[in-house]
Amino acid sequence: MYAVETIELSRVFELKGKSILALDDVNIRIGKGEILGLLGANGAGKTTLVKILSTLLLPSKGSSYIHGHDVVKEAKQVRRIINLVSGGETPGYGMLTVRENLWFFSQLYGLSSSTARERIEMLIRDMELEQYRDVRMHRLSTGYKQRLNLARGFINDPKVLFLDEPTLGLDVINAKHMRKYIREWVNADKTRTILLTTHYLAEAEEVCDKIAIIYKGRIVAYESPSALKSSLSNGVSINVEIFSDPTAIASRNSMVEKISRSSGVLACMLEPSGSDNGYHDYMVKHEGGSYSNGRYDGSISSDGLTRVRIILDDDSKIPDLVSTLVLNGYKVLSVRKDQPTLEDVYMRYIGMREG
Amino acid sequence: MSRGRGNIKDDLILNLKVVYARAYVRLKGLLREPHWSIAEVTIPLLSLCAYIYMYTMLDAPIEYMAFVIVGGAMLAFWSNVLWGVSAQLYWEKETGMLQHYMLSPASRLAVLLGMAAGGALNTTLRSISILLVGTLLFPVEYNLLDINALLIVFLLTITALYGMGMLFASLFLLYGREATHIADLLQEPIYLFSGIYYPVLSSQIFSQAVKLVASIIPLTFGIDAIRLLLIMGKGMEDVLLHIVGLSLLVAILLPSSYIALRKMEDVSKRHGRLTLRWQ
Amino acid sequence: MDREGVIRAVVQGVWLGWKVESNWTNPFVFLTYLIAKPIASVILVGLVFVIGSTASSIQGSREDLFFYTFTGAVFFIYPATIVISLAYLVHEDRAKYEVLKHVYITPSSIQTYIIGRGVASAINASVSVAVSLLVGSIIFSNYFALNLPISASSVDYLTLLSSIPLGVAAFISLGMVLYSINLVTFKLQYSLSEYTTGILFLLSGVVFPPKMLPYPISFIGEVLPTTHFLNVVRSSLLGYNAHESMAYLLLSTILTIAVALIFMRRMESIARVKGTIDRKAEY
Repeated sequence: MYAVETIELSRVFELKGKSILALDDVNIRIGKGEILGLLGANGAGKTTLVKILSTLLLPSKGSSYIHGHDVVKEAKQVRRIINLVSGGETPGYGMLTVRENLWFFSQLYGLSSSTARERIEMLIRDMELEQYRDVRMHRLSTGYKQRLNLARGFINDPKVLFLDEPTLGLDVINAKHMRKYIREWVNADKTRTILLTTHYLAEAEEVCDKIAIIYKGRIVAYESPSALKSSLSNGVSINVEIFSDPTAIASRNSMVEKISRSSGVLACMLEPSGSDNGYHDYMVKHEGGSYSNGRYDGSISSDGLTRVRIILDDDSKIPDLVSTLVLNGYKVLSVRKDQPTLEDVYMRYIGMREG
Repeated sequence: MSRGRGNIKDDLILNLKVVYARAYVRLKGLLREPHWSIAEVTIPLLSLCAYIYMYTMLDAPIEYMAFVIVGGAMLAFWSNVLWGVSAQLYWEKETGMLQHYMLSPASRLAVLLGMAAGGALNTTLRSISILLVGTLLFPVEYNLLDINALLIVFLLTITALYGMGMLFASLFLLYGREATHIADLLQEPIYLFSGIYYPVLSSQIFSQAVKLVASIIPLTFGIDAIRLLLIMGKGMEDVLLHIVGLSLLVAILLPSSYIALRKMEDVSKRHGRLTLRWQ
Repeated sequence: MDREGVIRAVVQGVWLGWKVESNWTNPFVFLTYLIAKPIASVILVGLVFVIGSTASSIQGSREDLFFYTFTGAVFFIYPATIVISLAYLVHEDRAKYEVLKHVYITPSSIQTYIIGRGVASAINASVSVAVSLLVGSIIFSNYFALNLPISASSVDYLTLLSSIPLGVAAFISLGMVLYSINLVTFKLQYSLSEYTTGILFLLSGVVFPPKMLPYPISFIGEVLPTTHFLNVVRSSLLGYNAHESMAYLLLSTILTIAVALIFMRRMESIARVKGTIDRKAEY
């Protein structure tokens, strides 16, 4: 029995007479003791999936199970063993203290007084909320509110915890604390499971056993981080430094295009650097052989160097690529081979579908 | 079978805890924000005073002063039902708390009962304060002969009233943003028909049809019976009709509120509108 | 800001106020709200009058008293609507829509914005007043034989129409005072406007003459712009000389405006010191 299982799960929203397909035949299986990271752009369907699995929303088609319980038909049983924490949500009543809020939530799960007391104290300690124990919730900072929210999520010691962008808006220290705790919590009991949605690739890589990439309601990749990276098969990522006029956007675009059309190039993106004009461009090759491009958050160097990250399907194509660049008049200063990162994988799967 | 009984027992214990926990939030609010309670006693008193002066201007019989004060004390319950129960699920949604309730195995009815219980207890204190202050300010006289009848009528009124509030809560949840308007809209017409400031059921001014329509509002029977018992010195036999009417309302409103809650939750989940704020 | 800028800001405030109060919900519900609620409140006062006078030992025509209470209830819609709307505005802009900080950092003054929103409320109130006056008078005339002693030919329209903008200016100023208080506080968002309208309803001679109140409470009623506004409206509807009441209304309006502007400036600076302009309160 899986901790979480979905079978051809779909959800259509009707909006002003239009049908919007938010989830399209989603099939996932999360084993007990696993942390699954769900990656996707805004509106990809991450939150819709979490809402269905956490009984807040009904699917239009398909079925889903939590520890063998049908999410639609056995919602009550499901609710006893799950919890959900979303980034930026209200963690309780503002006029109640941290402790009172946790007690309140413990009662929603019917915890006995002694269990509730013990668990509240443990969570207050684990979340480092000791000095805020008797402080009213509305007086907490964003970081501590989210710690309280996370504590709320653990209050019923759920078997399956859904974390919907839990580190949204958190500073580095709070986010790190949260990631560490999540990992330790699952490690402590292998019957526990987490489904984590996030925008942050590093976060997913750091804590998740498996990663699913969702795009326009469909799961387009579903592997462990290392397997995903190696899904680029013989793929290789190279960083190329090219001397060019940093202000000539047209020439950069043209360069990205030329690189992308070179043999063996799966994706190409301008790398962030010190100076910042907000975006950098990427171009990716579609499976059918066509291309698409777009703009990607990042920055462009102002030191006269343009740094390009290129994903190749085979490292034997590197010489051809360099030749193409030189033949097109670009001054290549360096070529450095690199291990594929999750970002490369993400670009490969998501980037190729955008544009 | 024993497992089934165990489940029922577990559910019952869980939901009783939920009722208590939600009522606790209400009572904490009373203690933490006492100015709310002060406002909820003082503000209605301002209107009560105005209507008492109006009756004085018109040389109305002295018991009209007491009518207004009793009406004002009962009005506190209506305000609480409207804003503290009917609109509460909507507010919980707006503040993001509704999602937490919906995620939990707790019965939604238990959550509403908790709100109602906390609200009723809170409001009883406020209502008594209005009665006391009003009585101190104006030369009113009471003539209570049957305290048992008064207690029965009061409890039935409160149960029916909060049952109505729980029924509205589901409707408000469905109507989302319009909920505040609906709550606002219901306020004055209820004052009008339920006889907060004047007798309705015993008045010759209103037709039988109006009285029948007004009887749908539990407040109408409740206020009229309480006035008869508390001010006019009447007994149980004089308010039997009121008791029957209120009992009927309780029998209709409580199950309806449960059915409506399930129905609305289902509709909301289908349309994905259950937890979205500002929708 | 130049004159054109001020006018533009007021017009934008009116437009925004109208949009916020009308567009965010079903127009049917909005219309019902704009019409049903005020009518119900006017009928409530009328019914209290009918029941009170029926129960009274003193018999005979009471149309003069009915006129007093009925017009008081109808025209009290102006201060009630404007004051409640402006007092609630801080909560709406700061906590609900979170736009207060954006409005505040624009070069246009917040006072101009408030005036615009107040005028939008006054337009809403005018609709409510007109409908309540019409519907209320028909109901009480047909069902309770209570006719208003108003004759279309004897109404002093000039005084009536000039008293409305004067009254609206005073009520917007009053609303500005409440806005200012709410700007520096968080806990009074709901109760402050209710306290104020409750006090105005009790002290301003809405449903009974303020002189019935014990002194010195009655004196407070005498200095309120609402009292003079209602006096001018009643006199002009009956075609009586309203010069004296008009002078009092003018004086109390000027005083209220001056107090509001000074008070608002002071509260604004306190709000910046306390950092309450963009802070959200959570309960």
